[in-house]
Amino acid sequence: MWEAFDVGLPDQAAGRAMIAQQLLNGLVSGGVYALFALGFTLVFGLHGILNLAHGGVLMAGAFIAYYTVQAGLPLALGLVLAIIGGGLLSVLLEFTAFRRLRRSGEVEFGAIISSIGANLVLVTIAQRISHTQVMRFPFGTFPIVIYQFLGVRVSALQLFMAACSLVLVVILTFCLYRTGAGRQIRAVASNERAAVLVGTNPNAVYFQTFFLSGALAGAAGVLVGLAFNSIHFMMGEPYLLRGFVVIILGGLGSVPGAMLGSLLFGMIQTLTIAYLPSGLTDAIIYSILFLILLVRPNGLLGKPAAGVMRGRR
Amino acid sequence: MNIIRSLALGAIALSLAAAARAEDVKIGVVMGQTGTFAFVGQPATDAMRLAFDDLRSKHFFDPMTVSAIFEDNRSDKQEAIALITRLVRRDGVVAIIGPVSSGEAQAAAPVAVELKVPMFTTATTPEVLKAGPWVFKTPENAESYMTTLGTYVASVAKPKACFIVSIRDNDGYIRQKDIFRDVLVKGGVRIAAEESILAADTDFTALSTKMVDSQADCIYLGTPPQQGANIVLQSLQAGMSSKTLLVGNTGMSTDLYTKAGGQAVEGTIVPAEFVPAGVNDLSRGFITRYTARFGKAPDNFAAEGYTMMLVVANAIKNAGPNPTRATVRDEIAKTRELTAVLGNGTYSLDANRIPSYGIAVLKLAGGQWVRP
Repeated sequence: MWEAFDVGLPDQAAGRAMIAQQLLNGLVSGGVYALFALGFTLVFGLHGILNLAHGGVLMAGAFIAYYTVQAGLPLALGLVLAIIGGGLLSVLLEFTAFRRLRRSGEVEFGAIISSIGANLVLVTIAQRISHTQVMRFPFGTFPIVIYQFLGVRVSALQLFMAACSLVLVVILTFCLYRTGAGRQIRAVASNERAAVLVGTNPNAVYFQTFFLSGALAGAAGVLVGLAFNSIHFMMGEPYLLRGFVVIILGGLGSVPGAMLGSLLFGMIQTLTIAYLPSGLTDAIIYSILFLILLVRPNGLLGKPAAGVMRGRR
Repeated sequence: MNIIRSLALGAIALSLAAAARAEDVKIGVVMGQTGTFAFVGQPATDAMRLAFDDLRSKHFFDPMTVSAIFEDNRSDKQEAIALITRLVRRDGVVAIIGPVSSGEAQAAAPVAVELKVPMFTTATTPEVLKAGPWVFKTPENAESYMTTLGTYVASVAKPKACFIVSIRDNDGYIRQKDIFRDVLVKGGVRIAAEESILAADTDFTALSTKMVDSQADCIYLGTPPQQGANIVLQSLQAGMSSKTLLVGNTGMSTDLYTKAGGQAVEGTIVPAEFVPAGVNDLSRGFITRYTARFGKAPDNFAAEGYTMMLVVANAIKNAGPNPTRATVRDEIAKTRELTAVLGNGTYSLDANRIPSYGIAVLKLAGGQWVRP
């Protein structure tokens, strides 16, 4: 049963607690954006492919976990299957929508169109499967436990989301910068022909990159479905737009930039909803982003040439 | 040989005439059975099919042959316009039932007027009627039922402060919210805050924290049912008291809301166009047949759909034996005290095409919508 919440704090302290609470909300939302945006920027930063079907992969991840839980299996398995499923779906997209374009050398613009088409296919399939209904994980899928600290409420789900985001980002960073596979990925991104000459298989590298990207989106889909009680065939669309904003804000192709951009975006969004008229939220968010880009045209951590990772050794 | 040829030609002519009669009168239904407003369009369309079958089984249309064409515009304005145009120009329907929302109806109404076809929509806003005399709407004006709801909340539930949330991308919801807010203010209830969201929004963490911080003891949900339930769930997680009074709109008294919200939405108060236990023999029979056919009890929107088909069928019959779009329009406009399943059991349109049938306030108790 839900219990009444009374912080019992004086007005000033309650005000500070409110700010702290909203900042925490923003950090958690930002963490989910980060999972989505990292996969998005990874493929763009390494291969110059703007994959607009990435929102469809997020949605697919949520669907996989939802139907796993509906089948009576544990949520943890649903999350794992969503990560694997998202990764494999993303690889399938690379194989069907991008590989031929890549070979023809027309990938950058062609990929935008082919990924829009691929996204439509994914969304249509999901619409059929779900009969256009909004679904949600059954009550009790994730235990509702609330912790309080100095008037700030933190739910177990928020902690889980933050932990998931952190762990997955650390794993991604480790894979990219501390493993042989990561070196190969960056080598292909830097100069594919040279990487081939030294024995790197570019197709395997693309496979790995797309898998990592899709796995992150799949995980993000599960967290979004859990946090916001809403799983539906169009759920990836708003994240696609926000993910796009985040990677531009952070700097196209920059992994740390995407992280920073996500957290900043999450907090700006939360604070504008909390303290400003709600009808103006989007206008204010995008005005702030516009101002940031006026000062830093390449994003917060971006460099003049898009695809920062391609230059990193 | 000539006789045989004449007989054969005669038989063909007769069969063609019979075929033509079989398609004599057509009703076009354009409802969003998928998409944002499927929660209205799906049950309403199901109920229309039921009403149509009920009428045919009673030979209501005899000697006319009437058929109904059901189309899904996926809650999309453009598709609604395209389907209405096609149904009129290609299929020659004498009336259109639909589309669902105020936004869709306001986009489609000028087209219906131009095509000179009566259009009967579930839109809530009276603005849609301004498009022209061919446009009709099922629900009473929001002034009527939101005043009833607001008065009940202010004088019976008596909250100290109400936090108002409404979607801002639908005229009907905005209008309901404005009227409800004004009635509350007149009734001495403080408005803690008024926030707007988009129909596609799902992340309400910031809004929920703001809601809790406002210390309101009442929340008005001017949203589609599942989204409203989602706001309640996220607000409870943010620390909202379970004793907070939840107030919904006419769209809430559906199982989509109760399934999405579960125990968390118990106690919600809504204005209802339909009394789930029935108010007359027709409504009780409707509840029984609908439940048997679709495996669930009818809601507000099913009752609206059933009533809409009754109104149009009645108009076609009265305009017979050769109804045209103009005569069907005139007969719909003459609808007075028609026995129906909405409200108190009779449905009327006044000289300004404003419907009336009586609204009840219902409360969700033990998963059932009951009179408080």
